[in-house]
Amino acid sequence: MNTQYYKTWDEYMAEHPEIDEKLIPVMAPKIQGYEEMMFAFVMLLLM
Amino acid sequence: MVDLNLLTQAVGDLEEDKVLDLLNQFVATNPTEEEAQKVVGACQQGMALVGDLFDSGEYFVGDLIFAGELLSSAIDILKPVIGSGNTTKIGSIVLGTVEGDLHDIGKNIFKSMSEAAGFEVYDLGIDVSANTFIEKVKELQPQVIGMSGVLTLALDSMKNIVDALKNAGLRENVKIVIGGNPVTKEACEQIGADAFTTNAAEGVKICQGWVS
Amino acid sequence: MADMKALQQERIQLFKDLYDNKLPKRVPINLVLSVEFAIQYAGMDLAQAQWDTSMLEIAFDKMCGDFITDTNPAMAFRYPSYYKILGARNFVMSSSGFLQHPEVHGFETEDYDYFIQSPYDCIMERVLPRIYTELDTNPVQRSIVFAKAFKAFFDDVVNGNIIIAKLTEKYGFSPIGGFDGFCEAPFDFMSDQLRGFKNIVGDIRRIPDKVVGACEAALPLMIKTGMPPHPPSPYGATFIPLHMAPFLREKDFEKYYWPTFKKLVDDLAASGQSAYLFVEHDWTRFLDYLYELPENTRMMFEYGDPKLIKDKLGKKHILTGFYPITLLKTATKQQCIDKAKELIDILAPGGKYMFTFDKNIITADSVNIENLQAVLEYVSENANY
Repeated sequence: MNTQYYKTWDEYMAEHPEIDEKLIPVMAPKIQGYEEMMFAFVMLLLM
Repeated sequence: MVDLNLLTQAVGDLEEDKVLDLLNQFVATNPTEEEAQKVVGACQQGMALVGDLFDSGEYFVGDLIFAGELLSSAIDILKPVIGSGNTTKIGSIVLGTVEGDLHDIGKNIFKSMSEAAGFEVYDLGIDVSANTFIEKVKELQPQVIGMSGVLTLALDSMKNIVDALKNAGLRENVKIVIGGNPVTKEACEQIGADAFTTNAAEGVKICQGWVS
Repeated sequence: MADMKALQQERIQLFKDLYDNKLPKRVPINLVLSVEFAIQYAGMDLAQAQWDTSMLEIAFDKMCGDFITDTNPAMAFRYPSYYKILGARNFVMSSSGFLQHPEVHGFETEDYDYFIQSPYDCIMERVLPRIYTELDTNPVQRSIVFAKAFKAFFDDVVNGNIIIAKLTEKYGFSPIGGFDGFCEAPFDFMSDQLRGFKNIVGDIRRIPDKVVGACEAALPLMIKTGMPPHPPSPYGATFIPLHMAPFLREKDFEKYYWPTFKKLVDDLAASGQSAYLFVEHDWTRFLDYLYELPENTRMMFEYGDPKLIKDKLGKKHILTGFYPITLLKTATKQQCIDKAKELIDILAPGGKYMFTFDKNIITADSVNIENLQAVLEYVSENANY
């Protein structure tokens, strides 16, 4: 999307090399879930 | 003097650049008020062409809205040369989107087209109550009241307003046209309006018929 | 309770058959009644119940119990809480307690280039603060406002969805058959709150290439918005209300509206998600275009000749709508039933039809409730295959 306000999980991971691998399965759905919810909210605001 | 037929045609074709060029050139020649009035007339005839093209299915609502914009930019250019002498108006309309409804696109199209046709239009805005209509009708004594709405609930508000006008003894002296997505012949009868339309161009023609 | 489970299974089967190109046992009913209808029907204060969403359970429950439909008629996703917190200019509660949508725009001519390059950044930085006045402030205040609004949105939507899901079980509605996503055609998205109706019709004459570019930039946002948060299923659908096309000349439609809209529906379908189109206003001029959309696109028609549309589209797509709700207010009970019969006779043969009205019923007093109930009862008992 060429944006600084939405990140995919891969983009997020690239910025956070400190994340412990064993936490990825529990962190990814949570963090990505909020990212998606925020995107959906913003778009709803314009529809 | 500008070629009036060319101007009328350019307005009808919605050629904005051409219309504005012609008008700017015209204003630069320091025309008389009388000449300026003829030019205004040519623009209004162009708007009539737009209405005809809409009726024949060549133009659609988007074109009508653009035509309204084009006409107001044309009048802005002409303002300095039209002079203060009041142009004769063919009639007056009190207009509003009725109580409970905030939609105004249709109302605004009707407003710009009826102004282009030579009406004085008093626009009361959106969510307009029966009391506001009554006050304005008392004050301005228009020939026509235009009520607009998109939501089905607007029909109830329209009926309330007509009833309130009756109670205030104002109904007999004025024609009422209702417009918008939900209006139908049955709704018009139930509300007690004189005419209904879902088509702004037709609405203007109805009003012209009343004041001619 | 067991009866309700059986009823629910039967209703689910109706929609599965409908979407699997089989003849269902009877014409399924997909009634949608607005939150405003529910509140008014329950005799509650319209504004109050939209703020205090705990009141909605009673309102929705009464509505679900009193109207026959195969899917849950309750639908709610706009609540005044977050619009108020954000200082919204686009959704405002009118004196009657209705959340309405005045014509506003948050996108200026000079924003096109930035939008085309980075649409989401343009929205976040420029468009939102123009439409939402409380965001037009310093970054700290803005983040607080946004956090409050998102929390309000989340609370109200979650509460509403829990209520609706509970009632779906209680009354044995089919959870499939309606829609589970929402987006807009890119040109409609640009025309609505970004540029506004009045400005977009000027833009297509003055800066046509930028309008095309902006629709293309908006397309990926709309595809992403239209995908449900769970894996797509052939029985789900994304609701897309279509707005601007009937107001455009065909050549403008072809250039500005159709290409990105078609791509949107195609891409959603390619991911396994169908579209449920509200074909607003009169699309008679564009039926050949609609035919081109992926098979089994759901199309709810507001106007148009049902017979012509059944002939042109009815073998490929799933049709609904057409029944004018104004009739429910003005006609007799028998006339209302006759109209349902007339439409079913035209639209039901061969399947690919579900029953609903030409638009959502938004107020309890805009229809005669007895007529509405009589029509639903008639359809549920008589529209058998």
